[in-house]
Amino acid sequence: MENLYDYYKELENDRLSFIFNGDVSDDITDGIIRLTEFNVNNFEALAKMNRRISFIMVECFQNVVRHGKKESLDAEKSGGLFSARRMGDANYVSSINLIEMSEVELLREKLNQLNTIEKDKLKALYLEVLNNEELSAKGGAGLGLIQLARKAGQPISFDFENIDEQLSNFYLSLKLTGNEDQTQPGEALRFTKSFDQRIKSSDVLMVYKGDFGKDSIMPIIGIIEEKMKAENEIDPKAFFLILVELLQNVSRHNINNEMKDGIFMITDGEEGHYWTSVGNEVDETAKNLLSERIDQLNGMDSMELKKAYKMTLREGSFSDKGGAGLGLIEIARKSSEKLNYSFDDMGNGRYFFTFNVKFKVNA
Amino acid sequence: MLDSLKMEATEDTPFVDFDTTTGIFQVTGRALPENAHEFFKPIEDWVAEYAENPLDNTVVEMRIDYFNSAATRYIFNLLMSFEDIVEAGKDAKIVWYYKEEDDMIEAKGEEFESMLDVPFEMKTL
Repeated sequence: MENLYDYYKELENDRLSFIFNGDVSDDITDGIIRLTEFNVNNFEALAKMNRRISFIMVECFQNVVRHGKKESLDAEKSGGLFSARRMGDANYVSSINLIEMSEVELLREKLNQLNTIEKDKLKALYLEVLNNEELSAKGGAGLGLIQLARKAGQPISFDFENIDEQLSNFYLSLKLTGNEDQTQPGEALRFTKSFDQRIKSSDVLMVYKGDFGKDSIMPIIGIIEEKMKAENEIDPKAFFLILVELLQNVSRHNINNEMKDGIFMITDGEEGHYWTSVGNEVDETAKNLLSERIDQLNGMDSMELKKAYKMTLREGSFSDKGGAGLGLIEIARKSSEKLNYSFDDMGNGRYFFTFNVKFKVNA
Repeated sequence: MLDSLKMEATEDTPFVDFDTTTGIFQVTGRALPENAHEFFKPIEDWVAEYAENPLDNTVVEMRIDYFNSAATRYIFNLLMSFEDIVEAGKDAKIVWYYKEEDDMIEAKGEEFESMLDVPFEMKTL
């Protein structure tokens, strides 16, 4: 299984990371926009470019969707990747998708042209393509990319990588900042490519790092819900409820009361299983409390868990924080295995808490 | 009689309609609030006031899709407050709706039923 803490360290400087690996559909676009809009709005310098970023995200994302139908002979290489990350005052939006080798040269030519054309000419080009059915029929290399170039006001970083005799991976990346400084062509890609590649070749289906408050969690849940509906292979209700508990648990047990930062990952496990992992920084008190509670739950069979659940429910001592153990018991009752957790010592009394829950895929 | 209590649904809280003209109290949708206290406190306060002078007949219709553990506590507590109404000699009943294929909500209803001292009916949607 992938180590969550490794990813956390790798994304340490990200204020927000959202990476979606696999077949994506339009249904989840809405959730992605809401997720990033909230996170962008919370950062003043970027608020004014909020709408532009949303647009660029959708365009990039749909670029993945549009080409998503291709299937490689090697099933593992099929599917696209979409990623949105924010570091300091810069946003990176990138995608990888599979295209026919025969499209590569046309796309390369188009993108080079877009990167060198003067800004005020882009609109004219847009109108020209819009009114020329022959040019726009192909879709991919046309309007979407021109719009992307217009809204971004930055060069589009791109690359191609042949994966077999017919197909090529198309890499696309944009760096967006609150100021008008131009980035160099290729700059964004140098930054995003290796991480995107790493995720793409791993079993990770989704990574989110950032705020775990309500305004971030609900869109994530929406994205996963849509994704699950499409796949129809796991018991969506149990999975959904565990997700809610796991994600809300992060905001309950957090070293930082203001930020509620954490990381969340879904991994395709072996033999029809999914792993959902959440992680966040906790202090020593929380570490001891969590270990004690989880060990206790792991020692119980399903009847004992039921009893513990009812007892906790009946207790009736409501704390403002809500859960008071009920969430953990619920997770333990629905998980197909014992709860798996670890703590990594981060120094200065901080610990990284990783919590993995395994789900069986419905056969 | 107390004015009816009505709350529109949001993406993480249910539709609430406690109608004091009909005695039908409905909770419909998903209950996943991050801060369950904030959402349920006004409902608890309202029910506490209602319980002082309830209608002769109250039917609580629960049509919940999803709820998180934080909400579970409050829903349980809310349903428990109708025990007081029954004890005071008035009629109150909880009807727990679930979709036939929804084992989880069905199981949750059965669990509540076994823990509550108030007429409880399970119905499929």
